[in-house]
Amino acid sequence: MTLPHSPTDEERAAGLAATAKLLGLTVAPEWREEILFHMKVLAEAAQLLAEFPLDDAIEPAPIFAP
Amino acid sequence: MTTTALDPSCPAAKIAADVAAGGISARAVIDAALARIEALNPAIDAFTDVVAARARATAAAIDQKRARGEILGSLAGVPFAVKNLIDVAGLPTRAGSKINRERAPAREDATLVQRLEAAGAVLVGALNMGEYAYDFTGENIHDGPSRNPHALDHMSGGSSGGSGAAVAAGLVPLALGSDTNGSIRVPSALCGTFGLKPTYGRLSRHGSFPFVQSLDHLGPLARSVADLATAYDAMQGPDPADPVATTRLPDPATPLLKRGIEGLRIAVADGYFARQADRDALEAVAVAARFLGTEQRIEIPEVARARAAAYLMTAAEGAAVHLDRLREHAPDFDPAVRDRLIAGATIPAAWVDRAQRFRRWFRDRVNALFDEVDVILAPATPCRAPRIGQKSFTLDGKSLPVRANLGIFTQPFSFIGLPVALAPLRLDDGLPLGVQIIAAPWREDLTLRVAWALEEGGCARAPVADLAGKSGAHDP
Repeated sequence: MTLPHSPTDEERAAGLAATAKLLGLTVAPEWREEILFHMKVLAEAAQLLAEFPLDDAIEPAPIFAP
Repeated sequence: MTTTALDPSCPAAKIAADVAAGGISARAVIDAALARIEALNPAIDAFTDVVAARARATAAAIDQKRARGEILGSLAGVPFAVKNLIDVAGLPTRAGSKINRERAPAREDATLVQRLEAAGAVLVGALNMGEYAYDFTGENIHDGPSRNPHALDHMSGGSSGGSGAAVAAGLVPLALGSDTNGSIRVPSALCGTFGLKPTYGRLSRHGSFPFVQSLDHLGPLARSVADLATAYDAMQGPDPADPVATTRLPDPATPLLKRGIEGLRIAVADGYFARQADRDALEAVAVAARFLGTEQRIEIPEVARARAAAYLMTAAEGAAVHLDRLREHAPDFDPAVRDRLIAGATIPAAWVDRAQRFRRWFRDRVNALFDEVDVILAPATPCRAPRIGQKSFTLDGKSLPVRANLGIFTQPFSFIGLPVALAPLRLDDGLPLGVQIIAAPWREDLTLRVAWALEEGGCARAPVADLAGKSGAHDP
């Protein structure tokens, strides 16, 4: 699995605006540049994981004991 | 000159022995600690709260216990302090934030505080930290940075910066910190103390303010391995109040320390670790490896991806923990924390799920390495303590933000919950460096045995910083 393409800066900014609305977060204009930078770093981390093959049988690892 | 229980360099073990023997009162030990804190804390800003009246009352109760002929605990009269995300009855648990100061005071102490005090230790206060523990620098926009006692214009390391600074400066011989991605090990390395991040689930987190519940650990920092192990042993045991706390019975490490490295297969982590550390950080590991008589190297697979997965889980889970606060109090956050948390709130669930699946894969691969070796050595940080305020540094030819990257070597191990002891080394008269000593899950004993061997042989040591000789130190 790889991510289809790297979003443009505009697409990332649109994603931030939409998600902030969805979550009820207010993002001041002066915070945006830094947040977008961090979103890009996170996307790079996700890309590293996306391009690594994982068998379907490998389960997530959070701990829960019923 | 003989060390007395009132000296800043006195080990916890000697304090406890002297108090138990009646050579000195717990009250005198605590008065001396409180006087040190009052005199020296302004130079390093390690403490955010001092609970003097409580500490004196606790100490007096220990002295009364002794007067009645009762047996005292393994930490009798030992002053300690806790990172301010750990509940102290009567204090709002600020977790390094401005926002949390409005919380109601904690009604009871965290489990680990209760257990240390049950062993006779005496809580003297709460310690500075990076906001909400999302930090490797020890800087705090609200309380000011905790400062490295060995060089006051350098970082203490985070996020348990006050814990590292308080122990290194001799204000207390023992402190508690939390470690989600390296927040005990980074300040231990930069401040030159011993530290222990136990196996995930080994020590109860009940009564601590969460950051990333999949990764959060609590653990001790101290200036000797014996003190570290004594505190660790006193804190072990199941706790139904923490849903991830182990149900295993305690595995005391103290009785095993003197076995040292006998029979242990020790290897140095290669690849990722060798590439990104500077020459001094690698030299510290090489010195420890030579001392331990090992030339074996071991390649841990896919470390960069492990770090990436921990990074994603941290941002996503951290954002979820703070979502309400981000809605209602966003301007009151440290901007460096807020902006990363908001970015974390945008992460698609599928990315986090994949990180958790990769975690399973990585855990299985790394645990398999422990069929070949018992202990792995790795650098703790890529360099010595940067200067306070330094924003970027160069790793492997790439300029990177300091705040997020001081923990590149610690993050992959907490990601899979392995126990890691941190041994501080002094290569020269400059700032300390740390070596991570990593073992299989639930084998804290092995990490502490190796740390003990390094300390016993003089290779690792945690001397008290001479604050009076440091530029910028305030006159007491």
